[in-house]
Amino acid sequence: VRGPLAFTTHHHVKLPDEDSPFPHGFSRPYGLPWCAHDRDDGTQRSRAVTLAGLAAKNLLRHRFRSVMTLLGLSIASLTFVLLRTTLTAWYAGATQGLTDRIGTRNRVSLTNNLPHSYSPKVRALPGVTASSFAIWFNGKDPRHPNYLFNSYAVEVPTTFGVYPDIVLTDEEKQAWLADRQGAIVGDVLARNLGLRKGDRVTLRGTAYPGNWTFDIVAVYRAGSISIDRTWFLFNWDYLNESLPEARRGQVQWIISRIDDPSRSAEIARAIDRQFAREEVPTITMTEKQALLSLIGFFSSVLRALEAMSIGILVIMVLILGNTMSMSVRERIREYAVLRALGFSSGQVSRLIFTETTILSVLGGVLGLAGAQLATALVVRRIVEDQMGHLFPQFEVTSQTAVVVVLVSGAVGLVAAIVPSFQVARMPLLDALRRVE
Amino acid sequence: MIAALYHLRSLWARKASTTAAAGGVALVVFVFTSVLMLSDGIRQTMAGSGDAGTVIVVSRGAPAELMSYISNSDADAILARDEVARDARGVPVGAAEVTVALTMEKAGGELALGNVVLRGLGDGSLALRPDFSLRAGRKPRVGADELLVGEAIVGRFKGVAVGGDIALTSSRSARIVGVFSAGGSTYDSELWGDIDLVRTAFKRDAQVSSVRVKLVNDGALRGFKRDLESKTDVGLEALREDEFFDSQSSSTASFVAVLGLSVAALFSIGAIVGVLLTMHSFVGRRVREIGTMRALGFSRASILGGLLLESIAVTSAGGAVGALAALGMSAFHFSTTNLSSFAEITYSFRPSAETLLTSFGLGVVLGVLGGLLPALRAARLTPIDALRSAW
Repeated sequence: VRGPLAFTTHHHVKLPDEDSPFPHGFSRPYGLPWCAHDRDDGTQRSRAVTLAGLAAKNLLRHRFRSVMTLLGLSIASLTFVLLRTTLTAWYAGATQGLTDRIGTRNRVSLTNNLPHSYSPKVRALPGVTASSFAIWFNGKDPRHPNYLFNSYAVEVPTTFGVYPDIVLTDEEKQAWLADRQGAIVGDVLARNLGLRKGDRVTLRGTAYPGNWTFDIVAVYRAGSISIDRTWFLFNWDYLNESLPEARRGQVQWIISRIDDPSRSAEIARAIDRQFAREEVPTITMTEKQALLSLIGFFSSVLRALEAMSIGILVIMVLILGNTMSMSVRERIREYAVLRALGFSSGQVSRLIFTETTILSVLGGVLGLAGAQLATALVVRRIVEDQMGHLFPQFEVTSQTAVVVVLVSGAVGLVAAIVPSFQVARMPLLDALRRVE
Repeated sequence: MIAALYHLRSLWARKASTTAAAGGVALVVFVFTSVLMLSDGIRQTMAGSGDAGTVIVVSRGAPAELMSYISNSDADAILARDEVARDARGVPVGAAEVTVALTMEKAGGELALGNVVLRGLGDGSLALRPDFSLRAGRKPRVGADELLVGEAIVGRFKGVAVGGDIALTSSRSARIVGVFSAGGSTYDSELWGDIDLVRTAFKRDAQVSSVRVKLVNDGALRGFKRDLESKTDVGLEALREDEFFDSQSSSTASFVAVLGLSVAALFSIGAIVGVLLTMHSFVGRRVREIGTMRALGFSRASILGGLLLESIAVTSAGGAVGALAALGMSAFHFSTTNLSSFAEITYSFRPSAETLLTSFGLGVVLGVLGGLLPALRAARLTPIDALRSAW
C-alpha cells in the first residue's frame, strides 16, 4: 500500500502527548504550517504531519481521480461564473443608469407617442436643467437584414445637453447640426455595419416605411455605461418633415436632466401632474428605473438563469461527494489506524472536509480563471456585438469572483457530509482486523 | 446473459456512487429536456397564431404588427382587390386591425412591467380565427367600452380578469367582460376589443396596423404580393400569416435555445466526468473479478461491452428520471417578452415524443462517453495482470 500512512523514516508523527492541552491532537495544534521545519539541532529535517498536510497528500494518491474531479469542478464553476456574469451584466446595465436623467413617455403604451408640444412644457418646470426628445425609428440596414440595432430620431441641438456622455468633438457636433440628414453611430455599431465617418448609408424604415438616406457625420464613443454603443441617432426634423400629416409632431421619449438627483421622484411626479388631465397622460422615471423596468420584461429568463446556476452547484456537490466517498471506502483501514492512534472521529471528519474543500476551492479558482480568459478572449466580444443593448458591459466582476470562491468552499463542505458519516459509521475494529 | 446480470447487480452493490452519477445525468437531461420543450412551446405558440390560408399585409420590414402602419385608404384598397375572396353576400373575407401595446404592471408584488397587446378587431376578424371560443363571461356589447382577455394572461397582470378595468387614456377605461381562448396561440396573451374603441382611444383614426385577407386561391398570392410590393412609395409587404409569425418566433426561440443548450452542454461535461470517475472506481475495485472473468474465457469485447452496459444503465436511468421530471414542467408556464414585438407572451413547455427520445438518447450518449475510457482500460488488461491486480 502506497500512502502517507506507510510512514517512512523521515516522516514523524508525534503520538498523543499526556501533558499536552490537546489530548487527542498533536503537540502543535492542528493547522498550519503543515510542512517541514528544522529540528532544534539543525541536522535532520523532520515533518510534523498535520491534518491539512495529510489531506493534501491524500489528494496526490489517485492522481487520475483528483485531476478528473478537478476538471469536472472547474468546468462546473466556469459555467457558474458565466451564468452569474450574464446575470450581473444584465443588472449592471440598469443599476448604473443615471438618476439625474429622467425620461417621460406615454403612460398607457410604449408604442404610442406624446405630442411634440410637451417638450417645452417639461423644460419649463423647476428643477429641469435641459431636455430633449427622441422617437424610436427601428430602421434596418438592407445589407444586414437580420442585424437588429436601435435607431432613434432625436432633437439634435438639445441632445448634447442631455447626453454629455455621448462623446463627440466640437467639429463633429457642428457638422451634425449643419446636416439635416446627418447621423451619428456608436463605435460598436460602426464596426458591425462597416460604417465610417463620411459614409452615406440607406436604412429601410419599418415603423416609417421607405428608404431613408443618412450621412454619417461622426462615430461616437460612450462616456458612461448607460450609453448604448449600438445606437444610430439622426435628426428628428428629417423624419418629421417626411411623414404624412397624421403622424407628424410626435415624440416617444422626452429626456431631461435635473439639477438634483435626490429630488428625481418629486420632479417626475411634477411632470406627470402637469399632463395628468391632458388627453395623453405621461409616466416619468429615472434612467435607472426605465432600465430596470426593461429588465422586468425578461424576469422569467433571469429566474431560469438563477435556477440553473444553483443546479450547477448541485452537480458540483454530486461529483465531489462521489469522489470523496469512493476514496473513503478505499481508505477505511487507514482511518481505522488513525482512530486507533488516538485521533478523534471529529479529527478524521476534518481530514475529509479539508480534502474536499481543497479540491473544490481549487476547482472554483481554476473555473474562475477559465471564465475570465474565455470572457476576455471570446464571449465578451460576441455578447457586446450581438446583444450590446442588453449587456453594455460583459465582464467577470470582482464580486462574482469572491462569490465563486466562497460558494465553491461551501460546496466542498457540503460534499464532505455524506463521506464523513460513512467513516463515522464504519466498523473500524473490523476494518483493522481484516487481512488483505 | 450471466455477464449482463453480473454487471447490473454490481451497480446495485454500489448504490451510493451509482445514485450520485445518475443524479448528475438526471440534472443535465432535465435542463436539456426543459429547454427543448420550451423552444418547441415558443414555436408552437407563434405558429398557432398563423393560418397558412390567411395572408397578412403589414409595413415592409415591420417585425410585428405593433410597428406597422397602413393608411385607411391603402387598407380599403387591399380589401377591395380582385384576389380577395368574397363571402355569400359579396363582402370581402378579411379585416383591418389596429394593435397597440399597453404597459401594465405584472401581478405578484414587485414593480415589474410588461407590454400587453390590445387588438382592435374589425367585422371580419373572428371569421379569420376558427379557433376562437369564449371561455367565460360574455362578448362585449357593440359601442360599449368593453374588452375580452386571452386566457393565458388572466391574473398575470394587475386588473386583468373579468370585471377588471383597463385604463386607456387619462379619462377613459374599458372593462373586461369575458375570457377567450384562441387555441394556445399568441392571441391568448392579448386583449381584444372593437376596432373603433382602440382607434378613438389611441388616436389611430388614420391608420390601421395590419390587414388580413383570404385569397380566392393559393395561386393568387404571388400576383397579390407582387402588385402590393412593387409600389415602393407605400412600403407594404404581404405574406402568409404562418410565415409572419414564424419569423417572429425565431429570435425568441433561438435565444432560449442558444442560452439553454450552451448551459446544458457545459453541464454535460460535468456529468461525463462524474460518470467517468464512478466507472473508473468501479473497475478499479473489481480488477480481480475482471481477471477471473477473462480467465474463465470471457473475451475482451464482452468485458468492454459489459462495462459500457453498466455505465449506460446508470446514465439512462438518470436520463429517464431527468426527462420525466422535465415532463412535470408542462404544468408551468413561461412568460417573457417576445424579442421582435416587445409584447409579453405566455408560453408553455411542450413535450413531444421526439424530445423525450432525444433526451433519453443524450443519457445513453453520456454513458458511452463517460464509460468508454475505464471500459477500454479494463478490456486491455491481460488475465494474469488482472489477477495480480496491477491496476
